[in-house]
Amino acid sequence: MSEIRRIIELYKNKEKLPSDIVVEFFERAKKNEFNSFISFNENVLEEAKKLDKKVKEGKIEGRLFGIPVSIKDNILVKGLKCTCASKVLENYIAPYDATVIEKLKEEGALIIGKTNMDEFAMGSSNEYSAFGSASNPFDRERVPGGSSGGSAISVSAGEAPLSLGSDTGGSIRLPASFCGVYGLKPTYGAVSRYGLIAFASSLDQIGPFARCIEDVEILFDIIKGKDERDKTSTNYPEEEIKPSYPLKIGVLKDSFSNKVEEEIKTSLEEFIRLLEKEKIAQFKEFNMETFDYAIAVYYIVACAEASSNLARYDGVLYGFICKDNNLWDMYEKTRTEGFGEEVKRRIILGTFVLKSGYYEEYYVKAQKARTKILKEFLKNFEEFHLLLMPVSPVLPFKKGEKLKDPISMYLSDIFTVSVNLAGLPAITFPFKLSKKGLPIGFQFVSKFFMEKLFFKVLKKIEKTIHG
Amino acid sequence: MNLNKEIDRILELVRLSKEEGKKFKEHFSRMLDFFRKIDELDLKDEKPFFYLEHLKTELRKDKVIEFKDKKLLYDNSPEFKGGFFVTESPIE
Repeated sequence: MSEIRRIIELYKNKEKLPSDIVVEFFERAKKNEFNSFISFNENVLEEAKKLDKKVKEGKIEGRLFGIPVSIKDNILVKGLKCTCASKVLENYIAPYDATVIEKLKEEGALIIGKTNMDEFAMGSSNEYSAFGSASNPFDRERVPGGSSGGSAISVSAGEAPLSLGSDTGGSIRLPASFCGVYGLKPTYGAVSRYGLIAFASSLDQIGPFARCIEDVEILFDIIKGKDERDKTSTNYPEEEIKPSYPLKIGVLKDSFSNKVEEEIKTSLEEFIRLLEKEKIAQFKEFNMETFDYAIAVYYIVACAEASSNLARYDGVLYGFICKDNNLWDMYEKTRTEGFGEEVKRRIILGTFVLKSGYYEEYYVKAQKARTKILKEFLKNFEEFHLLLMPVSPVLPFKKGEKLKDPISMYLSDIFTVSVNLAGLPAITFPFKLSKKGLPIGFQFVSKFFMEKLFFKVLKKIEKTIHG
Repeated sequence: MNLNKEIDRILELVRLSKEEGKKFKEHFSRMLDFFRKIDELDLKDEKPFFYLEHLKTELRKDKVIEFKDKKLLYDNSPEFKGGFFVTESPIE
């Protein structure tokens, strides 16, 4: 059942007040059992008490009235710390609200805290956080996925009913899948990035986490739309979508390759059989020539953009500073001590691929390959309404398992990065638990601005699976 | 300049410690090899990707808007004095 609906019903029936609900979630969150939060909004109870009065007066206004929400620590919430899980920003206080936060507040949401993540959203396991790694609620020895690991945990572990994260190469979808919740990566441009600390600007998108599809839909509907302060945002088409069942769904051939864990493959087959039996969809395999190359393309493009975006952290205008004898030594020491290993690796790689003499060889080729990836997707959408594939080739892995080998860590994103390179929307949904009790999720990919199709189809699937 | 020397030069420029540099060099070389995979793709008819077609950038009016919470901005600076951000001297 929708958590939003459940809580608002409690307010309407005067069974509970916003302060009761906040205390419920906030106390659980503050225990920080899984290290999912970096900081908390200590004023949230005061903010909730202001809403208590409105409940007593019967004035419940806003679609998120009195609903606690957790926010990834790379999205600015005025007056709260925004660290990006980095030492370089450990004391940075956001001077303004991101557009998505303004929208949440207008609907009555209560921000309870800022969630853990990989430093500057660079990682797939939440192990690259300057504030310690977070744990998967299904098995504390395992990673929650990254980079928005804290957001996924907070929703999965009942520390918040809803959360916002960001997805540059799978950072919403992977942790959502590893923690058994829904996570939406919207169409590029559907949601304003104003107030999101940039990692790779042509790939970053803010998106929602929730425990049911109805809540994802509500949250997305609130945050979407054009924003004058982000020129890459655009008006969202309002046309209704009426899917005619059975839908034609393409299944990526590589979903069944030997790179994918056996249990994920058999679960995918089970999912396909279920949808065919219920006449929700007909499936056909499709191939993507660029599939095996997407990780290389992604890391060239993302690191190049990151090397430019992260140049601003020099200890002068804000954040951590390491003073020294002269300006150049100060810059050097601030960045050497302020950034973690993975961030430094990506800045250096990004600087290298943009360097004269290597630019054509790496960056331009990667951008050409990106065009090819988009064309391949669009060609497949001539035949299919949706595309289906796993979110990750592996189940949530043990902490430390992939830290020594960055390429093996990068390969966890093999099913997610192409979507960001093409700017398309994709959604992760939970299907079942593995024999070891770990969540198995899959993702749908659609044409631009077809998020409404996800919502309709997944509501139908939710009903089929859970009744 | 050969690639190996180039990597050494870059690692020297970023002034990493010897130990860190050694580790980075190993990862760096493996990653550049990995990036080379793209050469297997036929890209001769492809144009570099620059923007998505549905995003038409329109120019906005050059309007000055006052930021009301300047103090919040300055408070984030390690040192702010008399309307200026203080840094070490760029001149020795």
